[in-house]
Amino acid sequence: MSILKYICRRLLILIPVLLGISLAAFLLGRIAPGDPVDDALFRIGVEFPTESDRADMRAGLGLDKPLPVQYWTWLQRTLQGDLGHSYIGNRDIADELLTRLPITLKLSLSALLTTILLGIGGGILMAACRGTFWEALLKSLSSLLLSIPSFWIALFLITIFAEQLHLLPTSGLDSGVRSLILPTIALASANIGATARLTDANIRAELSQQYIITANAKGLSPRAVMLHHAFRNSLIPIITLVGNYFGGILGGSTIIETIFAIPGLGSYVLSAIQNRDYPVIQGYVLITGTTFVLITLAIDLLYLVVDPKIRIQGDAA
Amino acid sequence: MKKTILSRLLCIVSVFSLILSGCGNTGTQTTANPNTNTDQEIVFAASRDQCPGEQDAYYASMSLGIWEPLITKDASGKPIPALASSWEHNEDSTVWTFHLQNDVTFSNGTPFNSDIVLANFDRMKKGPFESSFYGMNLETLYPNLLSYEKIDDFTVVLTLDKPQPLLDYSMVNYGSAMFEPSCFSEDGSFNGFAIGTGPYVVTENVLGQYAVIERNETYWGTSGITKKFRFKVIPDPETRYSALRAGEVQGLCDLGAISPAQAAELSSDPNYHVSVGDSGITHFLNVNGGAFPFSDVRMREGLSLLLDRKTIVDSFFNGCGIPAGGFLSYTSPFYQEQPVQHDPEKGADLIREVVGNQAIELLFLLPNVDANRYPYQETAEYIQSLLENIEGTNIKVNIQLMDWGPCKDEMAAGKYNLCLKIQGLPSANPLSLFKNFMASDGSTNKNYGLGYHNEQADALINEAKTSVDVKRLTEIYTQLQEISAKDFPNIPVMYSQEVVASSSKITGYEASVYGLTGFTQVGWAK
Repeated sequence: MSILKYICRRLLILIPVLLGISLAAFLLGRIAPGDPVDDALFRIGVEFPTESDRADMRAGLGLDKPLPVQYWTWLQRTLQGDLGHSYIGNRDIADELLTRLPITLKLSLSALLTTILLGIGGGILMAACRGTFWEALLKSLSSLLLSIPSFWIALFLITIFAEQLHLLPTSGLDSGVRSLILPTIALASANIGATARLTDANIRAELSQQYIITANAKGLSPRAVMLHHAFRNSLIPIITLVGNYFGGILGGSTIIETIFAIPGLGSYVLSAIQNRDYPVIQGYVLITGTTFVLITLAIDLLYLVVDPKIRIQGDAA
Repeated sequence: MKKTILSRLLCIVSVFSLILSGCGNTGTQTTANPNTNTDQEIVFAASRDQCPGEQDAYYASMSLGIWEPLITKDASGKPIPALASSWEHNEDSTVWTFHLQNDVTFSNGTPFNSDIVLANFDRMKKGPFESSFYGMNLETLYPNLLSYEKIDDFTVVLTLDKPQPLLDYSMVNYGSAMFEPSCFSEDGSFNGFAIGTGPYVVTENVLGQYAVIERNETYWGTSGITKKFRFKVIPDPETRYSALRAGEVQGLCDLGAISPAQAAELSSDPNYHVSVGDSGITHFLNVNGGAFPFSDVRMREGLSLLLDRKTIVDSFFNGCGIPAGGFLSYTSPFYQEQPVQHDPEKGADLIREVVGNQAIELLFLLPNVDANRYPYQETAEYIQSLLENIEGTNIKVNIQLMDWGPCKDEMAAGKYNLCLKIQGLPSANPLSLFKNFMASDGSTNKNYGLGYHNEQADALINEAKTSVDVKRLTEIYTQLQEISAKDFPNIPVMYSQEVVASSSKITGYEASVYGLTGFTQVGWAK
């Protein structure tokens, strides 16, 4: 019951969070120099607009109204489920975002899973191979992954695996799972390096605790000590970090989706930002903000599974 | 124990695979197989949707051959018949009569006739409609249109309130696109695939991913060689290039298909074919003529003389361009060649006369949108070095990359000195270009902070607005080009050329400005 209350409380917190980020996105968009008026006029055949053309278009887009009125109008419509139409392309934003969200989520979740599998796996291996050549190799590899920008890794992977070896497609989504392998690796690479190093450090810290000496003294195998005791107790900070990665992955997908021609939210918002397409940016912020808060909630709930102490404290409360 | 760990690992891997397997479409692989079967699909890649869909005024790029216009243009840019077999106008160019082809049917079997033309004008009246190619705007395409009437099944008359001696130039290609009216919604947008009279029909369209077109087997003209084309959207130029090298696509099309550096790399490889074609785009060095030092025409002329345009074209654009001497693109039917002058000594003298040895700091803006597509950074650095190394002067040039929105704001406010920017040919009739760049009250003159004022140019532009005589208009346009080459409202640098590339597994693909043939000549190599 208390868990249910906790979930409800977290969901209620979502409301002020979304209001806050939508307001921030709204203000940032409006404060930034440039506006979409000339682009919108160009797209309807007015290449050389006069001030009067601009004023008419500005009024048509509702940009002539005071900022609080613009925000309130947007908020009212949004509460009714209407995110409006894009300034550029005149498409229904809600439809467009809902079509693209699953694509970005699949890419982000596969990057997150790859981070978990390879990052945590690599960290355990590093801790287990302490003092060996393998530890040095894995450490160097993790440093390399951490220090190379994801867009560079993306281009490198495309050149090797698509252009040279013809093993995987360069772009698009028309090759099923194969289409997602390269973008997933490019998106996850830096996080894999960071997770591996954190896992390694945490396991080492746990291995120096007294309960490990007890476990060893009881005659448990080194593998059991590592996996069932040291690793399990080092999980909380790793889970926290992995949860936070999700936001980074969602943001990072903007560049990766563009490079790999994946029609997700990232490539959509990138072109919206370039065109100052405010309603699309607002919609994107709202939908990614909600997704991020929900994922964070899921991660928090995972703590309850991993750490009995949190369960007990929760029950006591 | 081992079994448990193994089964857990397998479980994790299975879940991971299941998630991944749901990620993509189960679509087919489109890697090319080099045989000569004309039924086999040919794949092209472009940076944007070639079929932007229902919300776009034209649904598809004209080059795909889905739809055709009443009037198209020849190699010199002059209007020639397409769906209209001929046309004439009255003396003051207010009444235009169009005679239509009488053996044309749409891809769905509907015959093309006057009623179709009227329905398309009815639709245009509901606009303007936006497009990623050219906006469809009745007011700008057919200014002062009073009525459109059917005389008989194959004759239509347009009546205008004021003379439009070059109306046929405005109607070229996108200006007179014709669609089968049943594909229009109530609001004028498309209610599904566009239906046209062209050599191809749209059979599949997934926005942001790809469009598939297939040959129109009942086409009234010469049919296309290849049965099926797929146009993939790959926005990143490096990825697009890799897709061609990997054999996933057989060609790169549309604006900015391939960078000059990539084209140079491919041109020496026999597995690829690089084609350079005409483009209506001109690269201009816009200058703030409202402020010192470019308010002085000697400064503008001096900089123009300093520029070695051939070096710019050869070194930075890998030869894909033509040094520009005049304001109007060489692809315009009214183009009049202006000499390309390069005299660095005279240029330096003129600049020295203007600035002397006083310390001058110039702000050189580069809009991101163009700098990402063209080697603008290198070109700007070259111009920077020319200006900073004039003996006896103390000029410093700061180059700044900017989004186009803020860049425009800075230019309009006069807070800049130089800006490298492209300008296309919005219409075959160049009046709008002259009016907006060269007239004292021209919108671009103001918005770009050019501060240009020339009474003779103003008088000529005013005369052109009301002239009904094509010969006189041609003379006016020639004079305006001559004025621009001496008085420099802005400084033309080079005429762009379009570069496309294809695998040598296909033939017939050449860079070209929009024309009726499109992809009809493209096929698998034998």
